[in-house]
Amino acid sequence: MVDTSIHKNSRDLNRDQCEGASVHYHGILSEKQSEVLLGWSEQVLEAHQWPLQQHKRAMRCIIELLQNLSKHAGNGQYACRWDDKGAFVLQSVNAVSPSEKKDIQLALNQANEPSLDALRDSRLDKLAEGERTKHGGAGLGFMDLRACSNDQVHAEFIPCGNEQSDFVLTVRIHP
Amino acid sequence: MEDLIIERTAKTPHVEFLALDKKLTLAGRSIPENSIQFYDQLLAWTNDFCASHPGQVEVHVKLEYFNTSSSKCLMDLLKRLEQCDCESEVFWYYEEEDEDMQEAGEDYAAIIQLPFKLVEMTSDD
Repeated sequence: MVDTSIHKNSRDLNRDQCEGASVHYHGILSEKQSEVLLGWSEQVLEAHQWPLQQHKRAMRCIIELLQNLSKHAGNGQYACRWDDKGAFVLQSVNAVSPSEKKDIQLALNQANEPSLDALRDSRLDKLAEGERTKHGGAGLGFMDLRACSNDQVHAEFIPCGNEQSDFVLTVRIHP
Repeated sequence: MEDLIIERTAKTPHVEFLALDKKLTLAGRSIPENSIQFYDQLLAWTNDFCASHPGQVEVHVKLEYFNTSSSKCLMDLLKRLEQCDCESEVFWYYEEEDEDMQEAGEDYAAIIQLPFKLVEMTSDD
């Protein structure tokens, strides 16, 4: 049985009340849950009045992480919060099989290959020529996370038994 | 040919493809989980439109956000218009501080061989 638990303290709160708010979710993650979590995360993000561009970059990371979870995993953990240095931190965790781990590792390697300065050209190439993945993208997700977070993307695989690993993806967006 | 009008949702943009006016508008958020499914109907309409409506066409893209899979679908849509006999012109809108959306417009303009106009929107727009 999948444990579904929601801890949220941001709903219907004003900006001041959202100051220390966070979203933590563990359970089934389909389109429906992802939409609700997106709305809650947006409220947490709005607790700090960031410039438009930073705000939109953080939103793009939220969207990418949630959609990665719902499209690729179907369940897992998702969290967003502000840290004590004023960065907006996002994290997702989902179990992956050895073959999924291999695919993700390949996508990560490709996304990490270009320097941050060369990332725009690489994304452009992917957009123009890149084949679609089986999930409909073109392998642009990790590249977009790197660009939006100024390269503050941390990925790791933690063995969790039965040959599976927990894929932990953390993205930090600084002001 | 009927117009294609789709109301915006939290995840999909407002679509207003007007056949007689020859004006195609996408506005709002394009972050559907299944972008291909959403954009398929737009591509199908555009295919019919291209086959039956030669002449000048205006394409207005006023997106607030789009996810990475939508970026590929948007490319497919613009490429379809590029291959079409009609003369399309793309108007790409971005908010005045939104350099990323401006860059995205420049990127599409670099790939798609259609006239592209980048339009900065101020808070008054």
